[in-house]
Amino acid sequence: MTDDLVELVTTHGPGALFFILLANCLGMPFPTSLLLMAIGSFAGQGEMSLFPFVLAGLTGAVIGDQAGHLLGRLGGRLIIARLAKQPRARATFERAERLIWRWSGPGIYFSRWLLAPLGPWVNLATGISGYPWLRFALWDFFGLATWIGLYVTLGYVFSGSVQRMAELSGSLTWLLVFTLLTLLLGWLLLRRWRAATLERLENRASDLQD
Amino acid sequence: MKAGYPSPSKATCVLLALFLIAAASSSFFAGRVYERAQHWSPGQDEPIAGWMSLAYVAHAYQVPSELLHEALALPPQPPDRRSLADIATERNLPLEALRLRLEHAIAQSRTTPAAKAQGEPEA
Repeated sequence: MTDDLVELVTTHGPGALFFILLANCLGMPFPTSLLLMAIGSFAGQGEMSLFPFVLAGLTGAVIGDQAGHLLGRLGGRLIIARLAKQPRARATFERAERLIWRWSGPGIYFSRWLLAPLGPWVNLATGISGYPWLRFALWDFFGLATWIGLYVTLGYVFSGSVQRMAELSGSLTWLLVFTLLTLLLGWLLLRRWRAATLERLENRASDLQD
Repeated sequence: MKAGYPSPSKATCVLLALFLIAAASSSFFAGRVYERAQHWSPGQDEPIAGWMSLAYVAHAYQVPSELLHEALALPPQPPDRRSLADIATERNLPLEALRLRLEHAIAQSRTTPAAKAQGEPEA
């Protein structure tokens, strides 16, 4: 797939990058880090000029993220309409909403580049929770600019090591994603264990009182 | 199970299983990052891949592009801008075959002083 994507971009130019990044931001798992570094490298060798690619890529990525966020918004409305008659489920949904709102700003920013595989899910989640659009748009834009800028620059500077750099950065990204997931699940387990221990102690105390 | 230690709920078991999978995946990627970072230095040779053009390989290995065109029996002018995967498909050859030819030509140019002199990196 990498071969075809690089070929598409070198033959069809910035327009191809626009559509590739748009689809990627909607959840297509394209090897975009390598692609962006390859573009940086080709530009470093004077084979193409960087600016049109950065502009087209950024525009495509912004549109892709906005589309994902909008889908989430529409889905969120449907969920709220369905939950109107179920107060308990609605309360859970509102708790989840508050949690998403609390973590959204940095969450949106870092899921654009450092934790890129989470990007499409964060778009949906922030959309479902009704996170303010302007704040989403700003965090998203800065995150995407960091993503594209960073990878293109890496490719430009280390223009003869794109393949190895992409392999390293890919593994590093997944390491960060899984470490974060491990910490989150560990925290949830710990909370459950504490709650269970507390309940057991309370039961024992009440047994003793009886 | 002892009294006072009730068996964990289904949800806790699922959570624990997910936790273990996530922890195992983290360790796996930590190992890969460690291994790749150990072998990483900007001056080291790139593994040749299908997305690369001959110009890119020449740049990465600091050899003249003509040498690589010659190794694949392609006219050096105008430079072939296709990817190696594309060239392999057109010739009905596995990519591995092209990679071996290129690596052989690069190795030879590095051991032959005349070719080495020609192969000085472009400014």
